[in-house]
Amino acid sequence: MEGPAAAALAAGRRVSSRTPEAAPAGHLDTLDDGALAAAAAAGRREAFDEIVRRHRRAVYQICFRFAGNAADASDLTQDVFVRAWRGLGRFRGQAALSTWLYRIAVNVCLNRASVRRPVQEPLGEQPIVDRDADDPQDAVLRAERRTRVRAAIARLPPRQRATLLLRAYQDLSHEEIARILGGSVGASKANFFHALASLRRLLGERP
Amino acid sequence: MTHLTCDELVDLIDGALPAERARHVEVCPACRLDAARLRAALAQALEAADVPEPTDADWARIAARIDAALAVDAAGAGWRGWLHRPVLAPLAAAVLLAAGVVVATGLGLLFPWPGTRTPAGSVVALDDDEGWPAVAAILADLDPTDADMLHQTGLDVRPGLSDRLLPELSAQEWAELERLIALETGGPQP
Repeated sequence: MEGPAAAALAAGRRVSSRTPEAAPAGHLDTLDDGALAAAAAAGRREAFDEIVRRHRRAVYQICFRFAGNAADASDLTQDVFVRAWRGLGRFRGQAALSTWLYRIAVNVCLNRASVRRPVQEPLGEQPIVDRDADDPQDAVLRAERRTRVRAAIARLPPRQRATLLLRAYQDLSHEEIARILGGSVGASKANFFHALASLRRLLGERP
Repeated sequence: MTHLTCDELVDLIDGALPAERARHVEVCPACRLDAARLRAALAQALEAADVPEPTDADWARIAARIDAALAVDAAGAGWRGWLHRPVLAPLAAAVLLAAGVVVATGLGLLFPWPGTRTPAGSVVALDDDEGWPAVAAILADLDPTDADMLHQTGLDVRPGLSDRLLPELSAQEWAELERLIALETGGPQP
């Protein structure tokens, strides 16, 4: 037995007793990620659709945090899943499917960011204001602070930015971030440290 | 007692630093200040954690666009399809290497530009607006799984590589890069 399912089994991850090839479309949601990846790699589009449903929110969040606006985040999300579909045959299951997807997402976002002209101004969208907040003025101030922070994060060097986003917002461990970015745990911690130090400097505030 | 390193400060604010080392901040004002600054910066970063949730209609639109892109793939992948064939990954590596050489050595020295002595037709001139998306599409097609294969060929392609290469290229260099890609792959001329 070869392929993602075998690799997942070898890695000791849970794989449903139902084989991916045999699972009817209505039961795909009972399969774990490894089995779904195997089914999708075998050409089952509905298995891939289930992967998209499971992971689209996390992928979109990463893309939004890189892009800073919904339109680009949607474009990037689409791109990530198209690349995932193309690369499924090479997904060996050594890492979790989510880690593999995050890795694609980070690469897509970094590549897209490098190709586009650098953003000089704070991110283009209007601040997101919580209109249900008790104090509207306070909500506006918070929204403006968020915009400033996002603009500062957008100015960080790519690997520092990626590390900060994955650690602070996606709550990934430095081990996972190292796997995603292709570096060491020490490098991930160093990037996180310098990202926070740079962020503090860019925002110009003192504790 | 030595001050906390960057790694240890990160572990400290993560709550992962061994207690023996964590006690250092109780007696060291400098490390205590460093830790407070890191925590404050992290708190600021977390203020921007909100991501607006896409609506069901947004998700449906994204899904439809994925469907459309995969349908195009299934129909033959177009002129960039060669990049997705694993066997051709080394060629992609050669292209990246060529890009690096182009930047590192300065194209003006190796490849004289129109107006000097470039043979007519050997370089397809693209203005900046045309060159960006073309090369962008090629580089964007080098997905992480391609990068794994490139690594096996001895080239280390990591996120951010294009950051270092792309901003350096002029419009003429874009055109030359495209010509090199076409030569390497036997693909259509840009």
